[in-house]
Amino acid sequence: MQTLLMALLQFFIILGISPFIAGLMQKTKSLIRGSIGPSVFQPYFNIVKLMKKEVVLSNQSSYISIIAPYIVAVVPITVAGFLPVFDSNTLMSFSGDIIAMVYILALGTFFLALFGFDQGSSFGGLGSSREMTVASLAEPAFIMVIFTFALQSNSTNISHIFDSMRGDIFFNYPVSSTLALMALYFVTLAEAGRIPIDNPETHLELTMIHEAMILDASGRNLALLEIGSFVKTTIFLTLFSNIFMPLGFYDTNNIWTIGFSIFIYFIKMSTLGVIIAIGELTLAKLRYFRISDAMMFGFVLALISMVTYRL
Amino acid sequence: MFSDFIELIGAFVLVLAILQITSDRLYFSIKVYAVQSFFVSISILSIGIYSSSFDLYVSSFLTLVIKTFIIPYALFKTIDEMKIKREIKAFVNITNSLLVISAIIIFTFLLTRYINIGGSVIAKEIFPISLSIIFIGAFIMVSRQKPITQLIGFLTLENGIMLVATSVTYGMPLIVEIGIFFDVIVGATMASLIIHHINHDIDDMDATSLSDFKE
Repeated sequence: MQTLLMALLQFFIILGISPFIAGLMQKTKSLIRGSIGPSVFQPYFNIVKLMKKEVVLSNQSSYISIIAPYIVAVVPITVAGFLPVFDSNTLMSFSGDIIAMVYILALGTFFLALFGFDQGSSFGGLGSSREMTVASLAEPAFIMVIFTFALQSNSTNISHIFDSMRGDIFFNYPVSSTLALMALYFVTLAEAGRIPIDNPETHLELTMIHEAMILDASGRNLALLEIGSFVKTTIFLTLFSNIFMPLGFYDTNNIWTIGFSIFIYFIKMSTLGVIIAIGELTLAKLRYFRISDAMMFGFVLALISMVTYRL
Repeated sequence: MFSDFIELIGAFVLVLAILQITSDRLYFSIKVYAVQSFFVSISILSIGIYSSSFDLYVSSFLTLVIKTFIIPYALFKTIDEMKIKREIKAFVNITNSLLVISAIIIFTFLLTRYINIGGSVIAKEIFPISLSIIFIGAFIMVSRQKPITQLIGFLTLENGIMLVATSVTYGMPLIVEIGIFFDVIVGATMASLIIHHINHDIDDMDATSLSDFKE
């Protein structure tokens, strides 16, 4: 009973924090640019407002447009059940492993691309084709990073990998871990659609990738797609923070240490959000045809990371 | 624990060397070189603290001043004077270079497993890392067309030599290191001068057009 309660608590923490992280990134960027910017909690208000509005669909669209937003939202929420925050017993820890997690996320990307195509507008198709290109380039690097950690901890179970990271793995294999960290950072940027790969703020048809796909969505559908993208970003950041910042306590029953761990998790996520926001301001968006170079860089780092561990 | 920290810094130097391959802008290459030299100087400083040798402190300080500030400044100035276009021309495109580099690095790590270094080595992993950086520098030198990027390749190679010399042998004698710094400065200055002349004489920065001078 207590285990289930803990698992549910972790699940809702990840879901609850995800719009906040998006708002924090936006706020950081605004503040550095010298403007005040919307409140940190603006994404919550947006979601509530959009949920109340009616859905307008193009008359060219089929049943895909009706089901796709739900799948896009539910897939990352399911994956959130895999990830531990302060306890290794998560909702889904009995089934599936980190490789399953990667490909469940790919299902969401697939339906998002279908949604883009289904609108019958040229922007949607353009965005979908770009998104699939980026996703297929990012996947080898991502899976290679995953393999590195699976080898280091002799397991593909997510909780088990995080448990052994909590030990001394980072300092036992500093070279391998640093290279994997860099590779995972690039994959995170690509999958979350942040600046060197995709600009989440613009609606310029030459540059947008993610925005082009959801351009025709409205009302509840748009809210669901936004929830999907917020939770996906949070999942990547949680993965990142659990592997590379193994602070806080794990598997305790004391209410104070649990509270402290949640607080530490909150700090870690905010730090990562601010770091990514600052990175966005200092970098220019890459040309579309240079994305393959950036992803190749990530892949080579991940490959070298795995080989240096094994050799 | 301490050797782990040195290996961590070494890993950053390696990542920056790989990043150097992906750059297609001269400004970006020089910035990457400056940051890389900064990490090399931190690595030398930490080895100096570990072995408490005064020579390494001096060497670290010289690395910081010369390679992080003076050489990048001189290169920026050269670029501004030349009005060189921003793109870097290469014989091998970036994706293929990255593949070649990954093969080189894996080969280096394999190779160094068979080399037995006598005596006490501070950080074991630094040796293959710095050897890879030397090879990456050599690869940049042969695969780029413009002299200024070839110069950056040479400087990367020199950073690798610096790293391997300090980490494996507890540093060279101070007089040798000062000689090396002198070499690098003179090399960079000479190269800038030659680049200036090439640009002035043949209105082009491409080293391949030098073969037009053949009889």
